[in-house]
Amino acid sequence: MKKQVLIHWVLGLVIFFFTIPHALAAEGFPTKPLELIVPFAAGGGTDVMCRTMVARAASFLSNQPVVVVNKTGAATVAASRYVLDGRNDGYTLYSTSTSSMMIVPLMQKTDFSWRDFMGIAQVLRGGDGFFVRTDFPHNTLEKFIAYAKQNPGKIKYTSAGTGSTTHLAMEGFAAAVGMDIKHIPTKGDAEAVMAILGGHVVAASGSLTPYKPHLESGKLKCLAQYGVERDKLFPQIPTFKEQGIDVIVDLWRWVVVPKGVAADRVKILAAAFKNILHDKETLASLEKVGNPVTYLPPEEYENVMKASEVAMAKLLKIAKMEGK
Amino acid sequence: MERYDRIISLIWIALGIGQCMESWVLLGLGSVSEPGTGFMPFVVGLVIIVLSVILLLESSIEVKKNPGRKVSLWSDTHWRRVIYIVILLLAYALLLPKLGYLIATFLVLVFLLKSGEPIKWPAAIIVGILTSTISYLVFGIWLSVSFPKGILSF
Amino acid sequence: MDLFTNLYQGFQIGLSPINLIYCFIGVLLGTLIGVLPGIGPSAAIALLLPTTFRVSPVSAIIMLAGIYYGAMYGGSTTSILVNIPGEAASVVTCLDGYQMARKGRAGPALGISAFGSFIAGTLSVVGLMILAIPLSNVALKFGFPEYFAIMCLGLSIVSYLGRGSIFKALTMAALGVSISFIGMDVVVGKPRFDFGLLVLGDGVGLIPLLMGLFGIAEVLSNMEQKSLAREIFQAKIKGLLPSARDWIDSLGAIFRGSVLGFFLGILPGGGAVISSFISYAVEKKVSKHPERLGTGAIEGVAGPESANNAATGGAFIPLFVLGIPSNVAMALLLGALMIHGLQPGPLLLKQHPEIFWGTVASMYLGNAMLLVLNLPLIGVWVKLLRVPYKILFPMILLFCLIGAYSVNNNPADMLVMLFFGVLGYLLRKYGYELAPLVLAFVLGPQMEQAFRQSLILSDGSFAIFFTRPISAAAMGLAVFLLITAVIPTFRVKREKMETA
Repeated sequence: MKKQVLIHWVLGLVIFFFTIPHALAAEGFPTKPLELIVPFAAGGGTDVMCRTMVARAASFLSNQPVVVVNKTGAATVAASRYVLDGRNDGYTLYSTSTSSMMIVPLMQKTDFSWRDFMGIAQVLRGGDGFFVRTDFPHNTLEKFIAYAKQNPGKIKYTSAGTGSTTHLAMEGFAAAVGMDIKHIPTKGDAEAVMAILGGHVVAASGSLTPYKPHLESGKLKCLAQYGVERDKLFPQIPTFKEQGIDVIVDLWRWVVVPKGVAADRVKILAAAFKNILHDKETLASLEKVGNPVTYLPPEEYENVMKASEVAMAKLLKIAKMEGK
Repeated sequence: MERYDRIISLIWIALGIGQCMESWVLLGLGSVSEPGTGFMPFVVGLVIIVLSVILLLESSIEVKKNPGRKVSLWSDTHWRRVIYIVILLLAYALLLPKLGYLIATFLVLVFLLKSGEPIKWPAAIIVGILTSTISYLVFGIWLSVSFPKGILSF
Repeated sequence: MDLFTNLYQGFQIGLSPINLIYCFIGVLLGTLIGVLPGIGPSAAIALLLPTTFRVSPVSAIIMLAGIYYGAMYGGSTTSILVNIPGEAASVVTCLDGYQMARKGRAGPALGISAFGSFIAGTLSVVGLMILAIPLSNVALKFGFPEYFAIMCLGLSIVSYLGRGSIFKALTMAALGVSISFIGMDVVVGKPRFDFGLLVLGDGVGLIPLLMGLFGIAEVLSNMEQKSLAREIFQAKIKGLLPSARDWIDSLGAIFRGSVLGFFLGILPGGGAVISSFISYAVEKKVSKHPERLGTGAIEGVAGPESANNAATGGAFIPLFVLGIPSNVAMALLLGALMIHGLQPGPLLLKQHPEIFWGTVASMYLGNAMLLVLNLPLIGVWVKLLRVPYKILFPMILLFCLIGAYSVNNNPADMLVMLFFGVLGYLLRKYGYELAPLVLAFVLGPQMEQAFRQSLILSDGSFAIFFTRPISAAAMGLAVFLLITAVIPTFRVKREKMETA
């Protein structure tokens, strides 16, 4: 009898001691501030969105704040490498988008891909479009396509940058309808907006946010959106698909962590971000900066990524922008 | 214009040629209506070549006029000290991740101090400790610059 | 009259006690951070942006404006004291400012910098009031060819920057442009000239370049000197504030710099940098004793400092009228506005004029606050220079090291800086000027981009640069300046050859 009790005791103690660190680890996480790596410069669209998103994150993460860290360089590759080569203890989060996880890896044939990360939450989806000057005589989609077809190489358009979703979308669009338009590369939406406002180009492809004031003032018209469905903030603009053009460029943003983070920590992060992205105040602020939330849980990560990869690879091929 | 200017002009010419070659061969010039990656670098490379040829001529003419002059820029200088400082800084950059901020900074400061005008060891050590600690507080803590931790984890 | 009521309202908002406090805090923090290496106005704003979340939009903007000005001034402070420019717009200040410090005139240099900035700020507020809308339309007329032409003009100014051989200066400029090619090609999106190093994948960082060429190289230069115990700043401190003589010398420079800076600041990309260089060149051209520039002439500080401050005022125009940020700091301001739910653009002026005018007023206040805050500090800075150089120089080196590191938290940047430190040291030794290199480095990428964009737009025709009025004018001026700078050299050469 005594022996059995003793054995039970020992077994119990052993199990207890083995689970303590595990339990403590889970409960203790996070015990220090977390980092959200943003691959673009401070003040840019992604940066502003991330800072707005994590402004109230601490209340969902045991009072540990999430600090935005900008790691610019090499068209998001530097940031991706930084996250992948760093510790995977769950304290380093990464803000990714179609650009950094699909377009850049496919174009540059990097040695990493979305498979090296684990999804925590999808933040949003959609948000790019194609604009023309209102005083351009061919300012509807049909007229534009007709004019472009009759005058190959004459129309020049700007985008948010080479290799961006906006560039890709236009090239795909041109290939899909068989027109020859020329891309003028710029360093971002700001430059592109100046160019079209100044009349130096008649067409531009970019994120909806910087063009919004000029749509409202009537100087520019948006002829199509690129997403799967109409963006929440621009419900009156039809998508390419709706207008019969089979080009979908899905801009999504996910928060991810590198592979290898302990499962329980991933769970905690996923739950925290679910709450953050359903928090009324955060949602309102994000809408104010032009980033309405479309949340998806980590379970959807693989599906979204796989679909996106297929679509992007196809589009890159059509647009003749695949990597060499 | 001195003798050494001629040699330096030659260096620039070589640089210009190298740049032109790399631009043409590796990067492609593209066409005039769609300039490629190597277009501007090639043009600038040409400019460098032209300018350095002019410099070469300039200095050659000068040297011909004053053949006797041989000015050494390095006599009467502490050039060894300069090299030593550069090596110290190099070491700092390489060892910072391994030693961590506090130790690496302390060491480099002490050695730098000793490399200059005479200063006693105790003074150097005190300045080293003070500066590394204060700078750590200002930059590492207040401004949250994330310094490497090093093997001793501080 | 509407204009004045608006401005008055703006001042009412700006002068409210709480906003004054925010302004003060902003300027204080901005200056402190701006003095630190590697942290220019943009980084300062990025760092302090979260602190503005809790605050009302107008107050947040006021605070951010204060931070921006404070940081710019902090960058000038290090230029004058230790020859390390806080950012590209402060490089020119190093030329004469540092020389003034070495002669014991750091006080007047810092002082005229603050006063000049204040006056320039005032003038740019006036400019904003009157010219905001018309100028924004002018800004839009600048397309790709125009940008290229302006860059060419900026580079041709290089010929006026140095004191030595023009061809050496031009070679430095060409080298600067070449260095700027290292990194990611904007058009194709692939790296070039990076020698396979990841740290160069995005190009040579401006901060490691500046810290190296100016900071490290300067220390190495000083350390090679054999003249024993030569206290670098030993000359007796001659007064803390600009003298009457200084004021007479500087007034013209301040005025010219302000006008230049304001108009150039409207153009996106490098407005402050170009205007500081052009102001310096103008001062040299206009001066009765051009050889003084570069040895510690106060106009060489007053002009550029006024110019880069006025450029900031100018930069607000595209931001507020068109919603387009002209530089990184404006982009951050834009981000800040958006977080508070305000999107700058044509409608913002109509719907929320108080934001624009409140900001204008706060800029002005920020400038004034800067003066109030920094003049007393001059005494402190000057005392700092009394530290014996043998103890000071390792700290300067550490300063540079941290600065280079902190840009990307990457030790490899320190190696880049070191490379340029040695390069700068050698170049100076062999009689090459560094300012042209920096100007060209900053302008290079934009120049190349504008060039390629123009060619795509024109389907390959070079005529586009000469058929559009603004572009043609700028290109013509650039060519003219270059030729007039080079001809004297040839004439001298001809004379020398004849007497040989």
